[in-house]
Amino acid sequence: MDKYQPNLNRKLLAVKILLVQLGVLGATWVSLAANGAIRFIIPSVACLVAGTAFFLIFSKWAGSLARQHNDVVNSQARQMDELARKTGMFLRERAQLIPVFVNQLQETVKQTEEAALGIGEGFMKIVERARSQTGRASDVFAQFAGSEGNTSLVDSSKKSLREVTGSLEDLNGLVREVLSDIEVFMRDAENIKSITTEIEYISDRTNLIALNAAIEAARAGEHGRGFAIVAEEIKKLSERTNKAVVEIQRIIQKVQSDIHSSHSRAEGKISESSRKTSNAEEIVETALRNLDDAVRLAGSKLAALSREAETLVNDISGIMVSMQFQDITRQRIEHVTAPLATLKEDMEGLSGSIGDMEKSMLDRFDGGALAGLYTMKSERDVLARTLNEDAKAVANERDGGEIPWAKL
Amino acid sequence: MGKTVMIVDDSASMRQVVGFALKDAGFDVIAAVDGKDAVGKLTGTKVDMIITDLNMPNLNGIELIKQVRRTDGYRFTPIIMLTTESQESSKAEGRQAGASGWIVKPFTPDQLLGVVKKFIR
Repeated sequence: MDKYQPNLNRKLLAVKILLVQLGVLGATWVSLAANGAIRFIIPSVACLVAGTAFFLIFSKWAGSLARQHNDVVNSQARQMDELARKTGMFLRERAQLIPVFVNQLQETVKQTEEAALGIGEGFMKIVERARSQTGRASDVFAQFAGSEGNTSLVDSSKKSLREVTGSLEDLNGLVREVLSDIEVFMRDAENIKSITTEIEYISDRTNLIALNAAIEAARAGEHGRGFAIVAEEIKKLSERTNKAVVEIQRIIQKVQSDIHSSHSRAEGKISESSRKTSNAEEIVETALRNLDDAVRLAGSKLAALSREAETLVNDISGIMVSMQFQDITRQRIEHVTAPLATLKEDMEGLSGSIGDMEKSMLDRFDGGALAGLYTMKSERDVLARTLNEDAKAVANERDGGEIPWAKL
Repeated sequence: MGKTVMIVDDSASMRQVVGFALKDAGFDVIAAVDGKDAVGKLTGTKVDMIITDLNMPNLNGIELIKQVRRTDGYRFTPIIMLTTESQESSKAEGRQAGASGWIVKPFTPDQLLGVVKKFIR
C-alpha cells in the first residue's frame, strides 16, 4: 500500500462525514417541515433525493479524484525521495572531503613550521658564525696590535727596534769614547816627546859638562886623573842617554803615527756609523710609522667588520621577527579548520536527516579527481590516509559504530 | 649568574624567535610546548620570568598562570602573556589570573627585551 494513501483517505472520510451530516440536517429539516406544513413535504423529499444523488455522484467523483491525487503525490514523493537521496549522497560526498582539506591544511602548517624552524636555525648559525669570526679577528688583532693590559707583537717589535737603534747609538758612543781615549794617548805621546826633548837637552848639556870636566881634569894633571875618568863616564852616560832619547823619539813617533792612523780610521768609522745609525733610526721610525698606520687601518677595518656583523645580527633579528608569520599563518589556518570540522558535522547531520545512505561514496574517491589534482606526494599521502580512515569510519557506521570526528 | 626565562608556546617557531632574542641578550632560556609541560619543568628549576602564549592544548595560558601563582616560589615571578590584537578580553582575564604584563604579536626583539627588562635585569 502506498504510504500517502491513508492521508488522502482520511480527507475523503471527512468529506463523507460532512455529506452525511448534511443529509441528517436535510432529514431533520423535512421532519420539521412535516410538522409545520404539508406543502413542504414534496420539495423536501426532492431535496433529500437530490442530496442523496449528489452524495453518490460526488463520492464517486471524489474517489476518482483522490486516486489521481494519490498518483501525483506518490510520484512527487518518489521524486523527492530520489532528490533527497541524491542530496544526501552529495552532502555525504562533500563531507568526506572536508577531512582531506583539513589534513592538507594541517600538513601545510606542519611543513611551514618545519621550514620556518630550518630557516630560523640557519639564520642563527649565520649570526653565530658572524660573531665568531668577528671575535677571532678581534683576538688576532689584539695579539698583533695589543689590547688594554696586554703587550702586543707590534709593541714588542717596536721596543726591539728601538733597542737596536739604541744599541747602535751606544756603540757610536763607545767608539767616541775610544776616540777620546786615543786623543788622550796622542796628547800623552806629545808630552812624552817634549820630555824626550828636555832629556836630549839635559844629555847634551851633560855631554858638554863632561867635556869641560875632561878639559879641567887634564889641566889639573895627575890630580885630575880620577876626575877625568868620571868625566869620561859621564860623557858615555850622556851618549847612551842621547841614543835612548833618539830610540824613544823614534818609538813615540811610530806610536803617534799608529795612534793617528787609528784615530783617523776611528773617526771615519764613527762618521759612517753615525750616518748609518741615523739612517737606521730614520728607517726604523718610518717602519714604525707605517706599522702604526697599518695597525690603525686594521683597527678601523676590524671596527667596520664588527659594525657590519652587528648590522647583520640586527637584520637577522628583523628576519626572525618576520618568522612569526608562521605562527600567525598557523593560527589563521586553525581558524579555518575548526569551522570546517563543524561544517562537516552539520553536513553529516543534514545528510542523515535527509535519508539513509545506501552506498558509500568512498568508492568514488579511491584515487579519482583529487588524486589527479594533488601533485605533491605529501598531498596524495594525506588524501590516501584520510580516505582510509573515513572508509573505516563508514564501515563502523554500517556496523552501528560512530564516526570519530573528534580527531579533527 | 644569568637570569632564566621560560617561554611557553605550542608554536615551535615562536619558541625559536623568543629564545633567539633572549639568548642573544644574555638570558638562559627554557622552552615548554604547553602549560602542562611548563608546570612540569618548573618543578625543581629556578625560573626568573615566564613568557606564555594563551591558546595552547593541554593547559592554556590563563590556567597556567593560575597554577603558577599557586606554586610556592612563583607567587611573585613576572609572567608575560603573548597576545594578539583581538585578545583584549584575554588580557583582562590574564591580569586577573595574575599576569604581570603582555606583549602583542608580532613583536620585535627590542620590544620583547624592553618588556622583559622592565621586570628582570
